[in-house]
Amino acid sequence: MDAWLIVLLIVIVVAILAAVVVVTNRRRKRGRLLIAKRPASGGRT
Amino acid sequence: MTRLTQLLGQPIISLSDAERTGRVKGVVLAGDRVVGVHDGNGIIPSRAIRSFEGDTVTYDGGDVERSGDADSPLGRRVLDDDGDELGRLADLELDAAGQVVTVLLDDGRAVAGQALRAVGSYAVIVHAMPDTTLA
Amino acid sequence: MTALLRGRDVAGLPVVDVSTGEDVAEIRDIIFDPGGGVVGGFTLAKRGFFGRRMRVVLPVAAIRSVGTHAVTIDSADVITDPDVAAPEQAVAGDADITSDDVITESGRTLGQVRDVIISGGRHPRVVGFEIGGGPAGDGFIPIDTSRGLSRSTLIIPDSFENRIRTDLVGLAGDIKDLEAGA
Repeated sequence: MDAWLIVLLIVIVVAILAAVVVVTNRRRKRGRLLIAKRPASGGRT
Repeated sequence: MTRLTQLLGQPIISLSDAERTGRVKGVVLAGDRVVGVHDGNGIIPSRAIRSFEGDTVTYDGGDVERSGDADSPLGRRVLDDDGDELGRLADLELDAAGQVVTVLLDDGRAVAGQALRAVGSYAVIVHAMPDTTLA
Repeated sequence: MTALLRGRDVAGLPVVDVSTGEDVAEIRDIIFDPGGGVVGGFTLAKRGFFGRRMRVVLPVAAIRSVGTHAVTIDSADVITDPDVAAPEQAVAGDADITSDDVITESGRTLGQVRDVIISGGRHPRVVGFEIGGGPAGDGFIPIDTSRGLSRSTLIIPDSFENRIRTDLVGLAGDIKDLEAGA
C-alpha cells in the first residue's frame, strides 16, 4: 500500500513539473518581434 | 424611459392567450436598438413587443421566431472602436421602442446611445469620441 | 497624444471586431518591415490559454486601430479574406529581433534589443526600442528609420547614445524633439 502511494506522489510531482515547463515555454513563444521577408515589390536597402 | 436593470427579470406575457412565458433573462441588440428579449425559452422579437416601459413585457403572440440565445451585457467591458477601454457597463437607458438613449458606465459617466455600435459576448463597442484622451 | 505601447503589451491583446463586439483572435507576434522598422502586421492565435496559432498574418492596413486594451478590426472577414491576410510564409525563420545587438554607427555596442515601443491608434508605428544589458544600462531609445535593422543587429546614430531614457515619458519627449528637428 505504501509503495503505491509513493509512486502516485512521484507521478503527480512529475506531471506538475512537466506542466510548468510546458507553460513557461508556451509563454516565451508569444510576443516575438519578427522581421518580415522583403516584400516582392521592395528593393534592397 | 426605462432601464435595462429594470427590464431584466420582468415577467413576459403573451397577449394572445394571457399566458406568462417567462422572465426577461437577456436582450439582443442590433446597433443601438434592442431587437429581441430572451424569456428563458427563446427570443421574442421587439416588433412583437407592445412597449418596454411597463413593469411587465407584453407581446403579440402567434408566430414569433423563438430560436436563439441572449444574455445580459451588464458588467461587460466597454471598448471604443479604437481599442481603448472606457469602463464596464452599468446600465442602458431605453425608450418605449427599445432604442438605447444612454449608455451608463460603472464610473458614473454617460455615453450617448447613438454612439453605441455593437454589443457582443466579449465587449460593448462605442464610437471613439475625439475629446476622450486616454494615457 | 496616442498611447505608447510596449510590444510585450500588444502581444496577447484581443482582436475585436467592432461591428459585432466579439473577440475573434488575439495578437501573437509583431512583424516589422526590415527597411524602416515600420509595423507590417501581426501573427494571430486563437483566443484562450491553449489558443493555437492561426495560419494568417494580419497586415497593419487591415487593422482599424491598436488600442490599449484591444486591436480593433472593422469586420472579422479581414482575417479569412485571402487577399488581405497572407500566409505565414511572409516571415523568415529565426527572424526574432529580441536580443539583437544594438550598435552605434561608430561601432559601440550599447546592449541588446529587449522590446519595441509602438505608438498606437489608427496609424500604428514603431517609435523606439527598449534596450538593455549593455554599458548604458536599461532604457528606451527612439527609432531612426534611415539606419539598419537586421535579424542580428540594430544600428543607431552615435547621438542616440545620449537619448537613452529611463521611462516612456522621457522617450515621448525625445520623439517630439526629433520630429521638431532638434
